[in-house]
This record gives sequence, C-alpha cells and structure tokens, in this order.
Amino acid sequence: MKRREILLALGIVLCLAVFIAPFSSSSPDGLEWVAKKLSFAKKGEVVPTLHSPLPDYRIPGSENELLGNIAAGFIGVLTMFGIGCAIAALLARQRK
Amino acid sequence: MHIPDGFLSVQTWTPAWVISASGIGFCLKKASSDLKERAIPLMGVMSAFIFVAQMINFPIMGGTSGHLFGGVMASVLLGPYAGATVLASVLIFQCLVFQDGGLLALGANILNMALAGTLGGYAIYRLFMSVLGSEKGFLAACAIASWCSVIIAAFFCALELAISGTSPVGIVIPAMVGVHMIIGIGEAVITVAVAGFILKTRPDLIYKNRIGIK
Repeated sequence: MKRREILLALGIVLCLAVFIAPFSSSSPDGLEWVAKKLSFAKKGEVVPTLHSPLPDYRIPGSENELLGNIAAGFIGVLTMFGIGCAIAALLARQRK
Repeated sequence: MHIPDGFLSVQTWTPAWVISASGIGFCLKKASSDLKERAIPLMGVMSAFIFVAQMINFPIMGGTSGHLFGGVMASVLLGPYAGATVLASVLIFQCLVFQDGGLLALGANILNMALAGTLGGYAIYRLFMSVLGSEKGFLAACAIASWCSVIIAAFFCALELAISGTSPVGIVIPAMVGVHMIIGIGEAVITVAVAGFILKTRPDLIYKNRIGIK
C-alpha cells in the first residue's frame, strides 16, 4: 500500500468510528438475544474479572455515551493500526 | 458473540485457553513464513477496520442485532494465519480495554472466532475458489465462506455453553445457529462489498490471488 492509500483507508475507518459506530443498533446481539430467550442471561451478571479503562465503550462516570463511543472508536482505531503493523513487522523480520 | 464471564464453566474455559494459546502460537509461526513485508500496513489497516466494524451493530429482525466479525475478510487479504492473528489481537484488545467479552472466556472467544471461524471460513473460501476461480467466483466464494464462518463460530460458542451446563445442547445449538444464519447474511454482504472494492482497485493486495490483475 502506498502512503496515500494508507492515509485514505485510515481516514475512512476513523470516519466510520466517529459518524457511524456511535449510532449503531443497541439491540442485543445474537448471543445476548439467545441468552435472554433461553433465560441464562443472568449468569453473565457476575463481578468482572478485570476492570477495563473504558467498559462497554463508555467513559466510566460520564453520562455522555456519544463522547465515550467516539473516544473508544478513536483510541481503538489508532491503537489497533499500531498493533497490527507492529505484529506484521515483527513477523516479517523474524523470517530473515 | 463475545462470551462474557459467567456463561462458561472452569472445565470449559480452561481447555479453551490452552487450545487457543497453542493455536495462535501455531498461526504466528505459520504467518511469519508467508507474510510479505509489503503487507505490514495492510495488517494495520485491517486490524483497525475490523475493530470499528465490530462496533457497528446493524439491526436484524426480532429485536436483535449483529455486527461484522471479519474473519474471512481478514484472511482473504492477509492469508489464514495472519488473519487469525488479527482477529485474536482485536479480541484481546476489546476484552482488556472495553470489557467486551470476559477475561476468563477470552480463550473461548479466540477459539470460536479467531481459530474456528476464521480458519474454517478460509478453508471454505479456498475450496470454492479452486472450483470457481473467476472474478464472479471470487465474490461468491467470499459470500459463502463469510456466511459459513459466522455459523461455525456460533456453533462452537453454543457447544461451549452446552458443555458448561449453561443451556441444554439440543436447545442452545439450534437457537445460536438459527439467529446467526440471519446475522451471517450481513457478514456476507459487507465482506463481498469490501472484497469486491479491493478486487476492482488493488487486486494485488488479495492473498495468493491470480484473478483480476492486469
């Protein structure tokens, strides 16, 4: 990929994170829906094993869900781009 | 279908951790021998895209929603082993930073989506490509394989729920597979759209591709 293509692709992904992701459906996903229907959803309401910095893609304590979603999207896109490149670079280097 | 903590028993999530850790180790080893230097930014972009796509839930009938899981999309571009690695890294990141999927259940989530769904879906893609092998055949192979990849992951997830005693096997498997047969249609539509766009613009980015390159 050329530098221009990488920037364009990242731009599109960031736009998806900011303009589309915060407005996606909040209905339960396939597994949550099945869990409710077969009434085992309660089993998932345990104390989490770890406390994440942005649980459920929201800023803890903030009422502003939209801001949390956008922040999560932005952080996620840039971090995952970095992680993906880093893993690929390490793998490509290991071969030599 | 990120399994939260509490759904799986210790007897289920422990072996799932062992299988997925060794499975991803194997994928890293295989990926290092076939990942090209020029695929470095592509792997970064793919990781970022799949992360965002998994945030975008589209509504489906009956008050439920689904989102792209991306296993076939990643492996069609990067190959199965790098593709599975991308999925695993997205799942680990979602679990640690956003509490999406439980930490104890992370091994099971990697097993279902990064290993069974992605590698299984890619095998189906190769099978159809070896038979069809044209530009239209490529899109058909992407559609069928991505739809199947969701079903495979849902089946593994249901099986783990049954083994854990969370829900009876005869009930949870048809329920999970049934709803994901519909969610899988969304997976196929998005995968075909993105794969079709890349085939038109940069066919050389597709892993081991011989079609559409002028």
